[in-house]
Amino acid sequence: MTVELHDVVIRYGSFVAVHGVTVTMPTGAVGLLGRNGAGKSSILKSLLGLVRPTSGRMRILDLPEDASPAEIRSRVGYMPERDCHLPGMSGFEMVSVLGRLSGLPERDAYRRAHEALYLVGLEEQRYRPVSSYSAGMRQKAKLASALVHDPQVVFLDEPTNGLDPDGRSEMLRLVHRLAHKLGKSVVLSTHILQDVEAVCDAAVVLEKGRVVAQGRIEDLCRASERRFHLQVEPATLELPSQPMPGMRIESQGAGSFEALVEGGAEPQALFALVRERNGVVRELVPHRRSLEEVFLGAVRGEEAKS
Amino acid sequence: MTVYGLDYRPKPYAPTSAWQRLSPLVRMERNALFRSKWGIGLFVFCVLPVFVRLVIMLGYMGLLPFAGRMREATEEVPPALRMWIPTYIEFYVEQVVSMEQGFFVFLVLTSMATARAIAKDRATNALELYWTRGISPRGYFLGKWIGSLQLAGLVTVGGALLLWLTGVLFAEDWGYLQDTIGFMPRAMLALLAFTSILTLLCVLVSAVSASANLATIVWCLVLGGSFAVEQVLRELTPGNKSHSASVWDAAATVARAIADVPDRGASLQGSLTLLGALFLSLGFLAMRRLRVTEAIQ
Repeated sequence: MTVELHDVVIRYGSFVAVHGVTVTMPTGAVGLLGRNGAGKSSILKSLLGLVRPTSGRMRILDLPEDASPAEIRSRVGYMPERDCHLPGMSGFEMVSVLGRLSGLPERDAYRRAHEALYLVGLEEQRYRPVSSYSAGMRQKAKLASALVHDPQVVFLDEPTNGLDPDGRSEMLRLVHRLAHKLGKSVVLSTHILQDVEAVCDAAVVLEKGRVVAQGRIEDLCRASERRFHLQVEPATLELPSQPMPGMRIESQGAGSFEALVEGGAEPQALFALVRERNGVVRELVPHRRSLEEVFLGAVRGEEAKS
Repeated sequence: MTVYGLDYRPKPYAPTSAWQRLSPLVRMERNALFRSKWGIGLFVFCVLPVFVRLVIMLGYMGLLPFAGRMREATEEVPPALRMWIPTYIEFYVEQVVSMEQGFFVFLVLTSMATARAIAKDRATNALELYWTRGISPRGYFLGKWIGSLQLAGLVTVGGALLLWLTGVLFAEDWGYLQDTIGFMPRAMLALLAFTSILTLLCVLVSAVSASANLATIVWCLVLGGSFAVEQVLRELTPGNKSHSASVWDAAATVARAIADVPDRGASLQGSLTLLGALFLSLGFLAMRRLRVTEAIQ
């Protein structure tokens, strides 16, 4: 377990940003998904000890619930979403100063600053002023700053923000390496579903301050037992939309169909249905949901409830 | 493992204390001017008055040709000229606190370094990086102030100490030391208090300003503008010592009171009231501006 939240409520005055969230984030890479204003940043801020939750309990790693913010931050690395750097400093100076502010002794801070910058691929540019870095290099410098004090957990807030496709895939490779090769627990806060799909093992979906879905991505996207993808020949074959009670078929063109099988109906009946119309079933596979479908389904469900 | 041995790998370490964590901030601020040639040039400009006094000191100690005449001329000195004679406390204190001699140099030094201390961090969103570390907003402010104090103190307190040590080392006998040892601790304390007050105000101005340039302008207005206001008040109410509108004069009055040097027309009570009101109002605003929720979005 990396992070555990139990019935956490976060208020800013009369505005409730997080409504009784209960979440357990396992070790590895976890995606914190949600639209802007869903409460992702509020949860990260409260985990870092920057915002006090109004009620509820939260734990990080094996630290006690009443651990001081400084103690938490010595075990947690944070990469902010906004573009930020220490003015007038080179990449090496910035990372080493932030390491010392995190509690590293001076010599260790210098050594680890070199290592962290090497890890993110800034070894050649480490003595250049950060203000002269490109957007991608600044993101990497922020990541190196988050890693310099060797934290067990790293919170990454929109790490691919403002990056071009090359920079984005490089950043995702780095995040994947952190979680799967270097043994860090990564909490990736983002609204980009592809990023989470690419590097995370689990996801928590937030909407309007509430958790609407959570679990391993494999489980969230697990193939449905009721929805099937059907491919037939000839491509011009037409199937009725409701051939029997409990079965609905939707044409997607070129001999492709989506079939929803409910109640007493069985998917085997589809073979007979196609054969009756002189067609051949080429493919009948359970439908596997994409993370986007999971996200949209969860968010729409929440919207319908409210 | 690479040939450079730079692979990122875990290595346990004993975390440093909260005070030790402030030291990089202090060092960063103290060295702010020395990071560029332009800054070093500015610092050299700011210590020029100390060099002028050093020449006077060397002359007084007989190391320059006009020494004999200078000694004779300084046997009977009116109070106004004491600030030029190394055996008087005014020589060390007034070179920093008097409007005519210390104001411009101090204004240049603080407006180009101290006033930008926090404002430049805000402009680059650096506060978000600081406060997600093992440091609090109060610790951050303290670190910035101590660093600024060290930089300005290098010119004010350090300059006076350098002059005095030069005098002690180059004097013909122990007479100079005996004449000055009685007031030097007071002089040092007065200069330290003066520098502390003004740098603290300057860092507070920096904390409430949205950009480094704005902070520089506001600080110039606080020092220069308040002096102008005081001049107007003095013209309107001649002989009234209770008013004290100039921030510079208020800090100088406190320093003169500590050094036991005659004041120049401003009351200590009025000065303390002005400084107290400024600290309270700027401190309140700075606390609001440095709140974690405001800096981190």
